[in-house]
Amino acid sequence: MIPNYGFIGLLLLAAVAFAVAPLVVVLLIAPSKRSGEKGETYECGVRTTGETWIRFRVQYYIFALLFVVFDIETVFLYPWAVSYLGLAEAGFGLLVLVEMVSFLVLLAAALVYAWAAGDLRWV
Amino acid sequence: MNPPIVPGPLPMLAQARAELAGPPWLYWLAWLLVFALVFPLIVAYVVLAERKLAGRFQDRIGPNRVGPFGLLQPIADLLKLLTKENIVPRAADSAVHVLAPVILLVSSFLVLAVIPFGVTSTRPEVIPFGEPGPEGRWYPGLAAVDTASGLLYLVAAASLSVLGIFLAGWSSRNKFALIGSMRGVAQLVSYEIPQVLSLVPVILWAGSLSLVGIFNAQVDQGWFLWSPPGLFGFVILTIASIAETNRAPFDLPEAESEIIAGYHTEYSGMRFGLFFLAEYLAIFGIACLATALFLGGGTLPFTSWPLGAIDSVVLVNVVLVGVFAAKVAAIIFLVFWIRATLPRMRVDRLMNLAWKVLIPLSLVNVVASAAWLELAIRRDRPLLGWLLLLPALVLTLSGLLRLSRAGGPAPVVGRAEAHRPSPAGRAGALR
Repeated sequence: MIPNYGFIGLLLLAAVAFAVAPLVVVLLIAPSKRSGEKGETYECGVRTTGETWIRFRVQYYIFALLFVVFDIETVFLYPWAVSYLGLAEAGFGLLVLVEMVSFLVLLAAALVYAWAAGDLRWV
Repeated sequence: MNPPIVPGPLPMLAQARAELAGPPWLYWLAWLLVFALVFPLIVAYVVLAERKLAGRFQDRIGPNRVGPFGLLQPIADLLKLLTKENIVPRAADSAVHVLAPVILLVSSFLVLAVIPFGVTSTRPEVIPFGEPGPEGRWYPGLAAVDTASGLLYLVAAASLSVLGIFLAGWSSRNKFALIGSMRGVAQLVSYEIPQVLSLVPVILWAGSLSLVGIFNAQVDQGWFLWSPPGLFGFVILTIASIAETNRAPFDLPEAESEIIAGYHTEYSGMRFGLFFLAEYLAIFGIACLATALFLGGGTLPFTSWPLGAIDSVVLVNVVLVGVFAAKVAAIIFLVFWIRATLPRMRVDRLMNLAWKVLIPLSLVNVVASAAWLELAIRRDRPLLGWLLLLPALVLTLSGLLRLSRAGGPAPVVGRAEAHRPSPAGRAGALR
């Protein structure tokens, strides 16, 4: 028997096919008349000026960096949450709890630091 | 070995099959059909329901011309989208332009793969498909896939949508689309953290990442909603999920009053239709997720009634899937209601809510859920748990709300620099 992830792979292929199929139908039955005006970039009818693919505000990257920190954190929290019940039954409950709370306090400190430094303020 | 099964109210049917049987390929083929036909159909009618309800909320009737009560409207819409010309701007990156909606739709589809809608056997010992749970303790779930790391997979699949939104805006080479997609990325990554953290209590109490395991834990312990951390987790999950699907009041990435249509400005015809389908599929997906994690899946409140009482797997699933669908419908209605009620948020308040309220609150909620596990689940003192944790969480929430507004309302953008000449390099910067 194929392991369960095999079906996820199959489902992935099916989902891609499901998304591509209507696009193929459009290619076959929908009209396609290209013209100069139609191919313009639509910016409320005003002709687009300047380059679009430019460097962007740093604000977004600060939040992206913070996101990476906290997303990694959740990756650590999930296995802890899964194994907590078993470890607590085995008598390590307090130890595991204290460990995780200290981990959370460290992360909360990072959040407090970012907050105090003004990085969480959207300007 | 089997516990005696009490005959249900229909003794004849109680003699029927206790588990779904057949080769795995047949099971998977059935699921492929569900994914290809049933889910899109549900989503089509969710769209119609939203249009009808939005009409009622605004004192209109809503679509009522195509078919009785407008019931054929989704089909008419599909035909219209299929016959529309597909317009791609000359400046756009055409390969990425077509890739973006496909990624978004695939992400929404994959999320649904691990949701258990019912059971495949009414006897925990018999496991026709999927992963075996702890020996003879789990009802095997009616999910397309049941893996030991189901929830982690689900979170990973859901976070693919950020990629789709960013690629859509970037490849369009349209300034409004780019602004929309940058906003979308900032919003989605910010709200992903509280969303993911709000799931930790559920994992903690079930001791499993498998959604079938979580369903079974709720059959044993009752809905996870009935506890202070569960209540807070559910609310955080709902708010963060509304933001994750770009729904009002968090629809800044596609704010039509400022940036045309945001990241899908340059999409027309069926490609726009794919965005639309993906959004509603994602709403359906998160409603299913919240139901499976906090509202006990298909179980009725305060009882595990059809499980263990009726032997027939078909009858049990009629109840379970029916109750599941009712809960999903209720959550989707809530999402529509919120959209009809609340105006769009301002971008700084949006980020404040995520980083200064929801993330600290969900961190505290993780600790509270561990306390609930120790007090109520392991030591059986739920009353003490309620008395300690509910005030603690409410105080945390109100404190955070107050703190997040500290220093008065957030500064108007650029107020400090308004009187200074802007540096040359910033002149062309987009917000």
